[in-house]
Amino acid sequence: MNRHARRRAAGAVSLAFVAALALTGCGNNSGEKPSAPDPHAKVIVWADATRLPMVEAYQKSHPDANIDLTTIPNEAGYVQTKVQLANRSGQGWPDVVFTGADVAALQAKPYNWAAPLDDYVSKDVVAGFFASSTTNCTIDGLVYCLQNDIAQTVLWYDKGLLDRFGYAVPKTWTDYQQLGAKVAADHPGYVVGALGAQGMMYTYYQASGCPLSEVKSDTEVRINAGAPECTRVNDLLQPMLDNGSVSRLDPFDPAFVKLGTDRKLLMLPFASWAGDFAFKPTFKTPPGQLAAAPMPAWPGETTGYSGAVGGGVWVMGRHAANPQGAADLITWLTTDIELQKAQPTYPAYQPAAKAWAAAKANDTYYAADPTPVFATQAELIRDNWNYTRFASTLTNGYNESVAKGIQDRGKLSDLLPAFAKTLDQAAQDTGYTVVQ
Amino acid sequence: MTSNSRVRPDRAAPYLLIAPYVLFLVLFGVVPTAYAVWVSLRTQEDTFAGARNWVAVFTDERLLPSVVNVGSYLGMWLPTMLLLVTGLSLVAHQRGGRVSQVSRFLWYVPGAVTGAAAALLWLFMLSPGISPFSPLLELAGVRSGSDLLAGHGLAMVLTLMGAMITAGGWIVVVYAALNSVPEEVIEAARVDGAGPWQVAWRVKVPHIRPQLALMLISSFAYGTQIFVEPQVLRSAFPSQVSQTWSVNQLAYFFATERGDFGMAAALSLLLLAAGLLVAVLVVARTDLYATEARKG
Amino acid sequence: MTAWGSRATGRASSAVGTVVLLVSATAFVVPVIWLLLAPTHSRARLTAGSSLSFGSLDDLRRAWANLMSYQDGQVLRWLLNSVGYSAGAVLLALVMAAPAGYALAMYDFPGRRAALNATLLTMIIPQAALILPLYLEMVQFGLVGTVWSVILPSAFFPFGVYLSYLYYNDSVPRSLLEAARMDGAGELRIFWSLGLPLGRPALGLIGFFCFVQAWNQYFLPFVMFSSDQLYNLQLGLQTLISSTGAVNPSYGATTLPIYQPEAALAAILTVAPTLVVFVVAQRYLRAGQVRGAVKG
Repeated sequence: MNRHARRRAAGAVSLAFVAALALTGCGNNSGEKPSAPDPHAKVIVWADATRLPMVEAYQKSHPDANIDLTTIPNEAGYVQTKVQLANRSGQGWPDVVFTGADVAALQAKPYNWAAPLDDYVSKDVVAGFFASSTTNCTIDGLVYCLQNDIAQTVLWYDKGLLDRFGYAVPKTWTDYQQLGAKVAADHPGYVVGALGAQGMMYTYYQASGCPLSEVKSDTEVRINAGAPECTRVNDLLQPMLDNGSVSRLDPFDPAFVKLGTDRKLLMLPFASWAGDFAFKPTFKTPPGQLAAAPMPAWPGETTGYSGAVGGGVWVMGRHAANPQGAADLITWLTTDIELQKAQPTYPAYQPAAKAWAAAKANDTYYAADPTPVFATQAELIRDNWNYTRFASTLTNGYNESVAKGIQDRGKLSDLLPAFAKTLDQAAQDTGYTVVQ
Repeated sequence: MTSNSRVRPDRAAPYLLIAPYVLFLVLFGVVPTAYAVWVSLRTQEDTFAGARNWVAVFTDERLLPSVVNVGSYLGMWLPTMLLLVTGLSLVAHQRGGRVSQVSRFLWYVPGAVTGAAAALLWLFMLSPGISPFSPLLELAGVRSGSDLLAGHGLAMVLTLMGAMITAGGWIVVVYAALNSVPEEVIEAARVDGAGPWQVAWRVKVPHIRPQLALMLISSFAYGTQIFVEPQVLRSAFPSQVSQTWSVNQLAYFFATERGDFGMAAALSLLLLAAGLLVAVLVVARTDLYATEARKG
Repeated sequence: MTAWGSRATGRASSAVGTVVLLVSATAFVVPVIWLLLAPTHSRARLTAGSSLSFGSLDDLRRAWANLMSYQDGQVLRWLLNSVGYSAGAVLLALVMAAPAGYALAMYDFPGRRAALNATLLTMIIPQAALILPLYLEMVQFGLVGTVWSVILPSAFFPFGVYLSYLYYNDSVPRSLLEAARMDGAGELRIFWSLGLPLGRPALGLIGFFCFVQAWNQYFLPFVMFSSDQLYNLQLGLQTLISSTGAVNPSYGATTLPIYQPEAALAAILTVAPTLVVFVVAQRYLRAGQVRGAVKG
């Protein structure tokens, strides 16, 4: 390149840098909206396609409400990316969002987006939710969301098969393990559980109270794969993985689904919504066969505790021009009895849950009414699993280390500590100190 | 009009012709790239960070596994791609006619399926029992999709996906280039007694070296930046494919779930550097910028 | 080698060639044939393993009705958006790539190498680095949330400029321009009446690839749009499918009637236009083949 051209090139490059610098000037970081709340300002709502009808129902029953609704992909990181772009450019934040455990991340740096609802939602309403929901939504003493549904785990079983084989429903995890051994010996190919997806982490590990996501304070979290509540799950499941009674697969892997359609699924502890949304449509368990039992109990405990596989929450943003309007929407969506009792999932608001159960009690698909079990287990969700700022690592990390590890025939006693190490790192990256 | 000297072209002409493109090049290419360099030196609160993002990227424990993954993928996919594309293009060009035309269309077809559509497609294709390829899968002893993706299976499946998705497009480019090989040169070689494979190797391939060079540069960049295939496979098999399997996925993860544009920019620039290294080498070796080495 | 002998070899290698083409083409196209047939089956039949059979028209009709039931046929709206964004991007890209490639190949001017280098660089940079700068730029121009925030960046197609450059470099000799200059024609006139028509094959190819790139855009609409009415088909589909159990049954707790057949139908909507444009572009390419005309 001759000198002339080189100078030109250098000039172009510096021009580019100047232009780029101009970009940096625009946008204030997490800009504050100085304007006073405007009760007529529109409320910008982002929900996924499944939640769309709920918001539309609100619009229909509240024609004066000014709602601007957009459907967004149900994709991890979508809301975070858009909020962060909004932070950098000073515009474009949503006011109400449907999300999950990410609420903790959205409340903190660098997003600083979620807003406390305490000034806009009465304490009575908040008290009407199940304890686990209130815990989920409370960060540093303030309420940052209202939970839409809970997915308490229950012990699903195929009553017809169980009766045919002459087995009893296990009441303790020891019984469960013994049942697994019997099934492996007498009826190989049949399964009583699965471990190959992050949903099963909540089912077994959370139900046991294994501290992998225990928030002590806003800056301290307890992660300890060596705790007895964790190792007892490893000791329970490892022999069952080895004898094949607990599948190494994801319950939604086509190969596991085939077990279901082949009627080889004897039992599966899983979320309350699994009856209608896994067993019926996907595993195709015949009508009149499926029943729900309480979760088995650990030695030393009299009741069987549950985990929670999911459960969405509605969150309000700090930049809402109409915070009361936003909060009213959120309150209605989670507490309106007529709306919630028609939802596919178990409501997190207790009065709505009662109505939901009453509507479901006569569902002829089940061998016996599962709703009493749902109701009991809803109160028994382990409270030492909380929403953390590293929630996405909890899900992805489990898939990557444990679920994939058991496919490669790794041992749970090795995989879980490795998983805990990933969690330690993620916790520290998001501003927690890790205690044992 | 002078008879011996060449008429000098208007000096402003090339600039006028290239101006609209250069505007877009600056707006959507150069400025964002310069900004990415800037952002890699800033914190999430937009204060000066110095080398902190770069250090954080280099010391992130997910970086090394993702680099190893991409390396093993590249080692399998790049040679497969080059051989497949060159080979199929030459065979198609030599065969000519309807068969060649139909084949080129069919090779392109899988590449048209992207995103959510591709996730659905590959979920079914890789699951024994419901896939049309079940006999093949069963022959290979695969019992489930998750089985297939265990261990080294993942890199092999991604290679297969990558080849099926990108080969068709490249065949189109290479074929078009082969069409520009002058008929007389091919005829002359045939008259000299060259068989079809010698014609291909001695005449056609050298003629399309620029297109092959472009393909090499592009494919290397695509391979090192692999993103779409693992993401697609991930929505179909979430337990089997990591969210940060490839380096580009890791960069995307930093940008989206960590809200850390600085680290995303730093990692992306590293990827850019790797791609540029190869690009510079290829450009130099094939003299891609030369306008003197011309035919006709 | 006798003439007879070489003809026999020629026929044998032609047969081998045909087999190679047909076998590879079949392997490539089987997955998409499955996709085309999938909506004709019920959900139950599909997940039980329908293989490559045709189901029933009733199932197809049901799948279509279910898909259209979502937000009163918003899928069609998304389809129209995709067509609009892609057409806009292609038009702009061609307007830029034709003269730019021509100028880079036909002239030696200061800044030529810089432009080629910048083109190469921007072709290789990973998208994760560009999310923030592109978004900020659009905010600056007040275009965020409008269709231009997607069309304009999609129209920036450095790969197309490279293809154009290689084509002109290869197929249009400078002597031709010399002749036109001697006849007194101005540079822009030469481009318009000589360069442009001669470049038609390349432009067909570039237009096609630009269309595909614009059609498959996911990340631009993701970043720029805040209204689902503006989504293109890729983003819209992901929005729809990611919320249902079609690909990932663990999201199955929904009342939306979108299952695998509906998702496959939506996938076909996404794929079909690309394939149609491919066939059209191929015709255009062959029509524009001007191999002999360039020789004096």
